[in-house]
Amino acid sequence: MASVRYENITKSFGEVSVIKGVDLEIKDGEFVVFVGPSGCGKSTLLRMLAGLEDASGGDLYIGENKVNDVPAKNRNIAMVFQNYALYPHMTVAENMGFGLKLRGKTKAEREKAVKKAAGILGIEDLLDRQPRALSGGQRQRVAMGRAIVRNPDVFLMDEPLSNLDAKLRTQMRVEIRKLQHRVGTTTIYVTHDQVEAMTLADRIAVLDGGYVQQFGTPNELYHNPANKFVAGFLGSPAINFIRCKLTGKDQLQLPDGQTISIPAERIKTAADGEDIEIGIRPEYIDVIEKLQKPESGTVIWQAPVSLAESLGSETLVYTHIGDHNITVKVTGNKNYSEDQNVILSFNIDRAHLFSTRDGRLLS
Amino acid sequence: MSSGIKVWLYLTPALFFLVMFTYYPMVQVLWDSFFFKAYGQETASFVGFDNYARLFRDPEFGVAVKNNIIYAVGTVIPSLAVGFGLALALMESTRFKNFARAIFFFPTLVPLIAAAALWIFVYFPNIGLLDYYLAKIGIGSTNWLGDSDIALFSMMLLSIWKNAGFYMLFYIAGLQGIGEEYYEAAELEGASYFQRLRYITLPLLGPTTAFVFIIALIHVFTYVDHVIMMTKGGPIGSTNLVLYYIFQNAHEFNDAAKATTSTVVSVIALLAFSFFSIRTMERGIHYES
Repeated sequence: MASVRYENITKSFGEVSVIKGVDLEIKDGEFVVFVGPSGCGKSTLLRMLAGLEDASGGDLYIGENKVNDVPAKNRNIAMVFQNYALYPHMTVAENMGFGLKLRGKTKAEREKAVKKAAGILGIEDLLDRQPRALSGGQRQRVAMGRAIVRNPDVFLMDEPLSNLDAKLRTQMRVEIRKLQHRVGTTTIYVTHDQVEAMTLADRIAVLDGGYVQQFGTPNELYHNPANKFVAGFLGSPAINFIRCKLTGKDQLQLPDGQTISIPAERIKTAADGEDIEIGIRPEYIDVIEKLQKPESGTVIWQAPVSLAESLGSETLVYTHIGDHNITVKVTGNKNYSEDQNVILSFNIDRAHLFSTRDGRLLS
Repeated sequence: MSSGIKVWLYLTPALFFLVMFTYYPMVQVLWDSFFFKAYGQETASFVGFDNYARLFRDPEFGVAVKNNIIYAVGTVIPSLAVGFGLALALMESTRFKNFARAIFFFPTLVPLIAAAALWIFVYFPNIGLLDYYLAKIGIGSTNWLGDSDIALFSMMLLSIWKNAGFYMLFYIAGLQGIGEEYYEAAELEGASYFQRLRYITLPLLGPTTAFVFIIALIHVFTYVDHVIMMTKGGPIGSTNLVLYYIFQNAHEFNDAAKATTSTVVSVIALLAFSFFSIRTMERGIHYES
């Protein structure tokens, strides 16, 4: 087991710069998820650590060893690929024992290690089968088995669940989490699915545009996003952004014209008259019964319902204020008809304030 | 029109030519192999398996079979190996490699008869291309085609030169069909280049090798132009292959019965051998699911 450190890592493919400067410090035994939209460089970052791509600049460390020039086969890393990459001509046992065989372990040693790993994953009865005779979920388990059997310093997983159906994905997600707890190996997991990121990670690195936008625990990222991108990327349904104007020192003008006062210390970094976007999560907006005079710091709006989706335990209400779409999450099974007006209320303390210019969080 | 009739209509032209020029002659040859007609005689008389007995007693047939087996082993295995090696080296598409592929594929396009004519000059003692350059490094002249211990090996070299580029193409296609992720996975497991070659590339190329092997095998039994052109089976029968033996009996010795009989034997042997080699190899082959 080992810690992992990216120091000012860059990567370009010809003219195209994919990673523009990444610093990350991953602790020994930690489960870190790289998440971001397609093309953000998360897989490239993983493949550089594996040694399948060279870094264009910067230093990579596994433990205390700089590994920039260490070939992939000597980095003692195991990787689970998106399509599993199980060798089709080997049985499950041979697939799992392949790395040990290359390291010159005897047949007995290999069998023992493979049996143990198979036991952890519950695939003992599949050992004699060939990959083509396995279901997607079983292949997934074998791929994990191949990774753990060698006792590597770091596990890398590149979108390992994306080929599974939704139900199996949820189930395997739980198993991966349990497995990592059990073996305690430092794990880096790449996904574009923010639910996977939120549920699996000790810490999440949100990547976009070749940079780490934020690196922190799922809770930190959800409740204290560093910028508009992170706020918008995490959370389902997505956070609502509402464009406002800063008038005077501490007055925020909302799109419908009403103004609300903001504690001055929240907007110190904003310029006077700057456009501000407030981000408010759907669950922090309430639907109230009667129109009332707002208390200080509370916004009250009347908005028409364009659609309501009942998910059983909660209801998503889609409304709009002017041209801003606003989604509200209400607990319980409520009925709303289209074009019915609802009264929305939220407290500005619950909202994040972002600069419209560069999306940074204002403070 | 019912679809049954339509199917037969589509098949008719191909079937017509297949029946006329392949199946009918095959049956006719099989039939003829049970008859004997002495030179000048009007009608052939039924002799049962006499022709077969005569064939297997003929020591020249035994020599031709033995030569053909040596020639097959010495041609098929090296040309597959060379084809595979070229494919490994030229797999990626770059301008230089595409050019090199064309160069190595070129001998395939040359008719065998022309290639044989060309190689006569290569093998010419003393002044031929080969001896000329060997002399420069101090190796004396060799009678490449005239020495009965060497002539068959000279034929093998020509055959390898002629066919390796063709097999290279199949291997390139096969190599390009192996997913990059297998190599990446193996590399992370700690496999060196040669270990990846041995444990990943070769097993996954099994279907390609099985296919190319049969093609190569058919090649060495069905081409005889170079023997006719270069050695006429000599010296002292050392380059006589089964097909040339058939040709000689049919056209030089006018022993049509022996020619038909040896044709039947060689076709059956080739079919049986292809069948069993495919079966054997398929057992060790893993087609992708």
